[in-house]
Amino acid sequence: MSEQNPSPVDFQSGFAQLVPNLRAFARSLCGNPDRADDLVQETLVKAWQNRSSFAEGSNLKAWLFTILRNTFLSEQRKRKHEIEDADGKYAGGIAVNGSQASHLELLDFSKAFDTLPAEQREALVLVGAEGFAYEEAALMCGCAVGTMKSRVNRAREKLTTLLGEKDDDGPSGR
Amino acid sequence: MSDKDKNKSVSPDVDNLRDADAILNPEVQGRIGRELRRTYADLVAQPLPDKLSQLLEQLAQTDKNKEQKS
Repeated sequence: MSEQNPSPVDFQSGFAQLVPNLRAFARSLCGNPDRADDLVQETLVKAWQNRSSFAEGSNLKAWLFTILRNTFLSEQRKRKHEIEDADGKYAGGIAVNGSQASHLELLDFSKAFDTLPAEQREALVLVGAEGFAYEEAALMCGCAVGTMKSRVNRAREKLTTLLGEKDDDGPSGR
Repeated sequence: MSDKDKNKSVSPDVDNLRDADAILNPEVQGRIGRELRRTYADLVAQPLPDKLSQLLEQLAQTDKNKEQKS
């Protein structure tokens, strides 16, 4: 019986637990922290209103991320003329507070990450950081699996070029 | 599709690189993976701002009220 009856408690706790991930994803997409939180807020309200349409037992994170992503894109379309091509303008968009020893390294990574096109940042985060399968990520982004793979590959190549050049003291053996 | 075309016209090298995926410096690849996960984990670990915690409470409250009514 309990299986048939979607448990609001489970939904609610899962929902609350995933908010930090939603924030991180939002930050990766739009860089600006305030805007990212607005995005999360809107996502939570929408998700909550539509929670009856969530299929119990399916992936709640994927469901929430998809809502956030769609919200981001429609907002992006609205604001398009205002923030046309804001890619890369958010210096330190994904930057972290620098308590680690490898602060410099991290900042450099963040800078490099910020130079990627939004769809590649998204692909890299979904697959590389959140651990979604290519198939899942492709479903969430409404693209072919091959497209998702090539976005991830291109992101990795670009980062490899940017970061590999920097500390090129390496493996070529001279 | 269009992306691929774009890359081709803008920088043909990218396609060579892609074919040579296997020889992308594995150290750099490992570093990218680690830094991506670490940077992302730091974002996930950040405390929620009040407005989001409050929203969560509100939503949970809505649900409770509803249940009691029905």
